[in-house]
Amino acid sequence: MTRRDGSNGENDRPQSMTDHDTTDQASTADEAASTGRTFPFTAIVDQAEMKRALVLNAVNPDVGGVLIRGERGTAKSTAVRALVEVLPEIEAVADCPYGCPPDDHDRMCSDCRERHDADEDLPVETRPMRVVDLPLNASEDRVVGSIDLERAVQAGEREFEPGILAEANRNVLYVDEVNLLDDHIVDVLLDAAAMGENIVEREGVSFRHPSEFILVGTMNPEEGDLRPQLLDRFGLVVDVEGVTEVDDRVEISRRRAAFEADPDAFRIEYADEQATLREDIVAARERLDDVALDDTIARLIAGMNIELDVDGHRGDITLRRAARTLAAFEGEDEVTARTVRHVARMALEHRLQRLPFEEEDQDVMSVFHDVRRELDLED
Amino acid sequence: MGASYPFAGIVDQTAMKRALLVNAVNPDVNGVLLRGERGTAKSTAVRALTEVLPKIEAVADCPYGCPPDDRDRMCSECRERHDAGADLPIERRRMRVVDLPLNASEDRVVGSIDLREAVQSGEARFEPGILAEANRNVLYVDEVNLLDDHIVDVLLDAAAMGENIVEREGVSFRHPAEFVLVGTMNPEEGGLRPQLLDRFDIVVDVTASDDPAERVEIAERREAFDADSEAFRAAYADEQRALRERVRAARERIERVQMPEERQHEASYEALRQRAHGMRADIAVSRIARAIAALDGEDEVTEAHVAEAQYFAFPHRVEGVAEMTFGEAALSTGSDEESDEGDDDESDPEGDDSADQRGGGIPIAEGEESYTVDRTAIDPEKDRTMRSALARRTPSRVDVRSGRYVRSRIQEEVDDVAIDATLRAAAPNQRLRGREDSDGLAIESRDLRQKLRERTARALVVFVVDASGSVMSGRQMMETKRGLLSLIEDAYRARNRVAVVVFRGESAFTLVEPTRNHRQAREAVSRLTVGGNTPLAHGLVEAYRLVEREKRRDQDLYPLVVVLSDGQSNVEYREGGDAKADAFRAAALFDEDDIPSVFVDTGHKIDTTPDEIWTERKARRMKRKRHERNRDFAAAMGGEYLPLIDLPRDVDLEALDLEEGTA
Repeated sequence: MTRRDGSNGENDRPQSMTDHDTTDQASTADEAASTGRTFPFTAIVDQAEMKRALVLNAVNPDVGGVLIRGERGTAKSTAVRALVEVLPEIEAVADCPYGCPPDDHDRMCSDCRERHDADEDLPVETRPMRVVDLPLNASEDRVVGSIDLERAVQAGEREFEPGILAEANRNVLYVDEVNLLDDHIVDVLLDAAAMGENIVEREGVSFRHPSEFILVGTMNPEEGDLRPQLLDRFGLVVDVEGVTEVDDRVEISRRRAAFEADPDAFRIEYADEQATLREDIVAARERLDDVALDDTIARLIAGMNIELDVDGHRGDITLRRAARTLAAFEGEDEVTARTVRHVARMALEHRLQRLPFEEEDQDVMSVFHDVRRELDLED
Repeated sequence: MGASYPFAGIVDQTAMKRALLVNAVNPDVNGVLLRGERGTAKSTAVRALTEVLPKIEAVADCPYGCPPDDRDRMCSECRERHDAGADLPIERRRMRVVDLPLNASEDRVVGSIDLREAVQSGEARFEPGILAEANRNVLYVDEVNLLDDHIVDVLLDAAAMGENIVEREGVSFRHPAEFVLVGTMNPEEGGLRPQLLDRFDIVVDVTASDDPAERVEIAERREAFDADSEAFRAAYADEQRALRERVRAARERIERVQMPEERQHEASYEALRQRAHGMRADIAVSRIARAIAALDGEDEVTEAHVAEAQYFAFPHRVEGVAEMTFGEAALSTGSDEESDEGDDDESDPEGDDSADQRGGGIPIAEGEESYTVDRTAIDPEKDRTMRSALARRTPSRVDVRSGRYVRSRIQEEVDDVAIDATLRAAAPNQRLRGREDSDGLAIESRDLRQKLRERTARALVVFVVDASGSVMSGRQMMETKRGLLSLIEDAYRARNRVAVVVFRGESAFTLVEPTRNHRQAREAVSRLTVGGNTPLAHGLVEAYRLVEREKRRDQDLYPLVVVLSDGQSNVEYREGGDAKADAFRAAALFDEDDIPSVFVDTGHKIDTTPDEIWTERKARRMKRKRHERNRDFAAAMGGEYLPLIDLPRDVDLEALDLEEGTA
C-alpha cells in the first residue's frame, strides 16, 4: 500500500539508525476492493476497543467519530469498511447530490428545503451508508467543491460543483493517515465537522451545503502527531496494537485465507452474527433517548474532566454521549459507573495535556477511580 | 446548520456575553476577540448573537445597506440619489453576523467582476463580496489567528478606512465597509499579528468552568438542545425577547449617556499608568464604558463602568501584558499591580520554579528573559539565498501544487491555472472576440492567470537540547535556557514554527511538536529538568526523523536544526557502538540531506566543572580539545558552529561572524 507521499514506507529512513517492525495483519481491505466483497465486521479477530468505538458511532453518530491510532496492518481500514455493512440504511432525497433527509427540515440543503416548504413531494430512496475516502493527494477544490468549469466556460455561469465533503454528507468520511494531511485541508475538515455544513467562499463561488458525516481517521503515531485542534474534534480515540497472541495470529491468517479463497462462503458463515449486530444497533438507536444519566454519574464525569484538566467542555459532552450510547447498546436503561469506565479512556485519552517528559501521575483510569470513590459510587 | 443556540441559554461566561452585547449596543466599539481553549462556546456565542442584534434602518435596494440619513457613510450611488433629492426606499432590518471562512479566496472577500454580465455585455461590473455584505453588520472570523496574511491585510485596510477599495481584474471600485469585527481563536494554534490584535477593542479570555455543578449544567443544556432544538429555544424565548429589548433600549439611550470628565481623566490616567500603546486604549475605554452604562440602563458613566471597560480594553494593549503572556487578566485600577481574576495556572512562575527545583532543574523566573533578539538565522533574505543554495544541491521540486489557493497573478509562464481568475479576465472580451452567448468563452493565453498558493509552513526551527547532567553546572544550564528562550522568541517574531527535541539519560524525545505556539515552547523549556547521561546520537536521530516527517507534509519546508550541547556524548546508539563515533554518524545525516544546522556550543568558556583534578595546563588543553571536537562536529553536520557565550544579549545573528566548522 503506498503512502501519502508516494513512498512505500520502507526506504525513507536511515537504515542503520532506525528500525521498524511492521506486522501486516491484513491487506484485506485491498483484497476486498478487488473482489468487490467486504470482510464481515464480526469476523475481525480481537481488537475489541476499536470495534466498540466504531459500533458506538454506528449507533449514535453524534459521538463524534473515531481516530484509530496504530501501526500498519492492524485491520484499521478493514474494520471501517466492514462497519458500513452493519449500519442501518438511510432515507434520502433521491435526486439530491447531498442525499438530504426527506423529513428533517433543519438538515436539508437549500434546494430541498425550498421544495419541502413548497409542499413538493420529494422522491425518496432507501440506501445503505457508505465509506467516502479522502484520497491521498486531494486538492482543496476536490474536497470542498468548486466552480463547475463546463458551465462557466460555456455560459459564463458560476455553478457549484460538489466535492468530497458533499459526497460525505450522511456517510462515513474515512481519512487514512490523517496526520500527514496538509494543514489547510485539515482546517476545511474541521470546519465542516464542527458546523455540519460546508461553507464555500472561493474561486468565484459562494455556496453552502450540509455536510454531516461520521469522521473516521487513522494514523500511525510513529509518523507524527496530530494538531491538538484536530485531535479534539474526534469524539473517540483508540490505540491499537499488533496482535501478540500466537493463537490469535493463527486465526487471523486462517480467516484471511478463507475469505480470499471464497468470499461468499466466508460471508455466509458470519451472516447470522452480522444480522444480530445490525439488529442490536437498530435497537440501541431506539433505546438511546430513554437512557437515564443521573446526577451522581454526571458529577463523576464532570469531576473527571476537571481533575484531568481537559480543555473546554467537549470531554464532558463526549463522555456522556458515549456512556449513554454504550448503555443503550448493552440494553441498559441507565448509565452506571461501570459503563463510564468502559468508555472513559476512549473519550478522554486524547484530550489530556501531557508534556512527555513529566512524570505521568495522571491517567484516565486512576482519576476515574479517584472521583468514583469520592462520590461513593460502586463499579 | 439550522437552528442556533439561544444567547440567553449560554451558561455563565459573563465577560464573553457582556463583551458581545457591548458591540451590539455601540457599533463604534471596534470588535471583540474571544481567546480561549477549545470547547468553550466561543463560536456558539457569536452565532447566538445574531438573534439579539438590533434593527437598523437601511436603504432597501442597496447591496451595501447604506444608512438612509448619513450622507458621509453612503455608497456613491446612494449619495448621488440622495443629493438629487430622491426618496430613498427605507427598510428596517436586523443586523446580522456575516461569516468570513478561513479558506475564503481574495476575490470572494473583496468582490470582483460579474462574470455573466461581462460575458453578455462586455461590461466589467463589480460584483460585491463578503466585505460588502459585512457593511453595517458583524463580520465574524473563526480561528482568526489562522487567517491568511493577504486576507488579513485586506481586512485591516478596510477596517481602517471604513471602505473597501478594489482595483483588480479590470474593475475599479470602492464601497463602504464598516463592520464590527468579531474573532475567535485558540492561542495554542499560534498568536495574532500585532496589527490585527490592535484592531480589536475588546479581548476576552475564555476558560472552561472549574465547577462540577456548572459543567453538568452546560452538558445537560447542550444535550437538551441537540435533542430538540425547537423546544429548547421555546424555553428561552422570553429571556431572548427581554435581551433583545434591552439591547434596543440601550442603543437608543447611548446617545444621551454622559461620560463625566473625572471618569475620562481616570481612564486616561490609568492608560498612562499601565503604559498602554497609543491612544486607542483611552478611546476604546470610553466607548465601551458608555455602552455598558447604556446596557445597565444608566445615563451616566460610573467608576464601575470604567473599571469594567478597562478589564476589556487593556490586556492586549498594555506593555508587558502582550498576547504572549495570555492568561493574565486585566489589571485592576486599585493599588495592586495585578488582578486575581482569571489567573491562568500555566503562567504562574512560582509553580514552575518549585516543580523544577524538585526535579533538580534550574528554574528561570518569567521576568528574567529580557533578550531582545532582532533576527534569527532565518532572515528572509538569507532564507532566499540559502534556499537557492540548497536548490543547487538538491533536485528541484516540479510539482508544488500544495497549499491553499488564495489569489492569482499575471505571469509569463502559467503552470497552475487559476480558472476563476482566467475566466474573469477573458469574460469582458467575448464580444470583441466575436462570441455570442451560446458559443462558449474564448480564452486567450494572455487571459491565463497563475494560482498563488499559500505555503502552510515557512521555516521550522528544531531545537535539539542537551538536558544531561554535564550541563547541570549552574551557569551552563542557565545560559542555555536563556539562549534557547530568546531564540524561540526570535522565531516567534519571524512567524516561524518551532519544535524542541530533548536528549538526556539513555534516550531522546520530542518535547514540543512543531508549533506556532511559542508560548507553549517557552514554557516547556522553562520547566525542563536535567540530569543523566548525554545521548547525543539519539537526540540527533530524533531530530532528523522529525524533520523528515515534516518535509513529507510540506515539500517546501525550510528546516533549521539548532543543537545546544557541550558535545560530551557518552551513550552509544547501539550496544557495542561508540558514543562519539555514533554521534558523528548521526551528524552526517544532516549533511547528507542538506538540512541546514547550527551547533551551539554550550560548554565553550562557560563550562566551569572543577579543574582540581587536572593541572591548569592540562585543563586548558582539555578545553581546547573539546572546542575543536565541537567545531568538527558542526562541520560533520554540514552546519555552522557558534559558541553560546558569543550569543550576545541583543543578538543579530545575521550580523554575527559565524565560524565555519572546519574539517
